Amino acid sequence: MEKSTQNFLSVIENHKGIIYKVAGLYTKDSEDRKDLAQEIIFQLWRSFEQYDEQYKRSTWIYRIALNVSISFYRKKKRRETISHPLSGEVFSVHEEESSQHEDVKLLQQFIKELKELDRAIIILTLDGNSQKETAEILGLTETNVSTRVGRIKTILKKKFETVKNQ
Amino acid sequence: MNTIDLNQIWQNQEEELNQSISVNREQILEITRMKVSSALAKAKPIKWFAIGFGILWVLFIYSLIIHFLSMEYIFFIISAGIHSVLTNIAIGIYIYHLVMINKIDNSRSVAEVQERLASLQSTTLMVNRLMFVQLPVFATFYLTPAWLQQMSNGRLLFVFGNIAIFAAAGLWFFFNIKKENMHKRWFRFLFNSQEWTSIEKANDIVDQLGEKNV
Repeated sequence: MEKSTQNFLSVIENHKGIIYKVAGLYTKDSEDRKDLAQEIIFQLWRSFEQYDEQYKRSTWIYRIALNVSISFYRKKKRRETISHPLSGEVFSVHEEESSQHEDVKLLQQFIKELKELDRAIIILTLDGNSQKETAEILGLTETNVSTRVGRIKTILKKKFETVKNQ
Repeated sequence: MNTIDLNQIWQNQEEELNQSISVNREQILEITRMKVSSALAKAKPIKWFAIGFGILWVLFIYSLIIHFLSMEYIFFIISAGIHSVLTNIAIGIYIYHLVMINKIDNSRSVAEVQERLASLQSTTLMVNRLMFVQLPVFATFYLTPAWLQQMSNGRLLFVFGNIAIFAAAGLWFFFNIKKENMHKRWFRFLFNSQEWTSIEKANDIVDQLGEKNV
């Protein structure tokens, strides 16, 4: 196996959570999630040799994953956007999603209801990226990210409160 | 519910994910063996057909221009010349659009990539504007100087009135086929296709990016 392929496999292994989460939060069902995860990995491989080392590896992955997801989300016939369909799935899930904690499911649902850009901001923030990193990944100013994070968190809190008070 | 709770819920998700997902190495290896097809090879058959038909059409018009190349058919030569030049530009823009849209570097920032995508998708609007702005040539190509000299004043008025209507319609479409009018009924009636939905949504992202330099 070539060195670059080995490196790529270990990058995917180390950042599988980012790809799986982003793919899940920009798709409606598991079939679309599977296709999107595959497309993200294909685009990562396509750009792998051109990786610019001035950025963190995670910044590079977030940018590609979010750009591919936003474009994928816009398409009506999503399957047609897949460059090269695979026979199997890029990720195996050992536990059913139905076993997820109720609050996790609610948070995922509320995030999916946000607009595409707000969705990206909250994913990056909750993943622990600083406002500077989030701004760098998205191409926004730090002030803008800060303002938007506050607004999005308020929206999510309100949605939780509404559900909990029912 | 405070911020810590949101972070805690997210953290729960992280733990669940780390325990439950694994990478299928064979599938990833399959991806690394895939060839990146060229942008044009990825274009849908309908787009290939549009380009091919456009090129054949322009060649046909050129052959007519050569065949009728004389002062007697000056109106036809000028009309067909304008038509073929604008159609050539439209084909060029269309090919540029197909190539560039597949060459976008997704590792740039989300704002940069999405703005570039929206701007490229808007080139489809320019192609349609170019097709409409040439409407007047369809009211002039059949005229000849000899025929004009023989026409009665009433007939001349009808011919030039026709040209004026085609010119006004062409200019109106040229200035009104723009993203701001995409939601209007006449626009949807004329161009109701998936391509416009894509452009509309691309512009929606750009709108979301608005005021990004606050």
